[in-house]
Amino acid sequence: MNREQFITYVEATQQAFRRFLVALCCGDSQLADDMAQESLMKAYLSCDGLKDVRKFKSWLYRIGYNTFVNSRRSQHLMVDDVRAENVLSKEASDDAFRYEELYAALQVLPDKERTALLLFYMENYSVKEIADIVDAKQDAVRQHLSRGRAHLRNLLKQ
Amino acid sequence: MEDDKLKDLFQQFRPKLSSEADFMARLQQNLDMEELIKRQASAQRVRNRQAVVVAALVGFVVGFLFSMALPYFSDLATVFCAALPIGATFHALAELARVLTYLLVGAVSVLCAKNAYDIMLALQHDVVE
Repeated sequence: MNREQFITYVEATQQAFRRFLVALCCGDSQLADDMAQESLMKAYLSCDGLKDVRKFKSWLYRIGYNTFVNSRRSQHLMVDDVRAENVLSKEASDDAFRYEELYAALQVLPDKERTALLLFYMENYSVKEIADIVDAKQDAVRQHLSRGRAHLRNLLKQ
Repeated sequence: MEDDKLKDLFQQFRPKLSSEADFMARLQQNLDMEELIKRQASAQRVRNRQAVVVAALVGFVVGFLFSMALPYFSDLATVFCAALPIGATFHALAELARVLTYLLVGAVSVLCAKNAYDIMLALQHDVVE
């Protein structure tokens, strides 16, 4: 895959991918953008290894998810601080206000449950596809989905 | 039913994203930088390989020339040891003269090769700058 082809695929998927990362980062769009750029760079560097270009999107989501997990591991405390600051600083923003409840609920969910829910409901991926993306067993994904649903419902009711 | 609500919630999730043009411009910029780094790393690898080849050639040539001159060096060493005041230690040294000469030739060859490698890299660095 050359650079032009890569850019074409990215242009077709970037909006959905960035939305997914914004939700994964609980509304921190700056962090999500940085993560998207990092993921796309990783994808570009390893795109020769992608055999089936039809799977570009799920492959990109997998890289995005791994980037998110690595970022959480390396900057766990810092990310929490930044996120807290962002939530406060964006209270005035219409967008943050609009999704404030959802972001707050997503923030409480464990990463795996949040990821499974977002991929399932936002991107309409099947359990099998989600299992491929997050590198987990299908049963584990079903469990994350089931727990995530219950948690999210409770949180949104509150 | 509850499931549909969640589905609707996420399907209608449209957070405000930063400008698509800015995002793609930033990506293009990152890709340019990445390609520049890749090109430079590749050029550096070529330069290193060339320097290694030159160093190996220099080492080989110096070693070959010194080996050709080895009989002359051995004679010199023997003469030198014989000229010294008689002593068992110096006789033993004379026996070792050949081995020592080989070691010396090896050391000189390695030293020349290393210098050639450094000089080659320095010259290439100047050319690039």
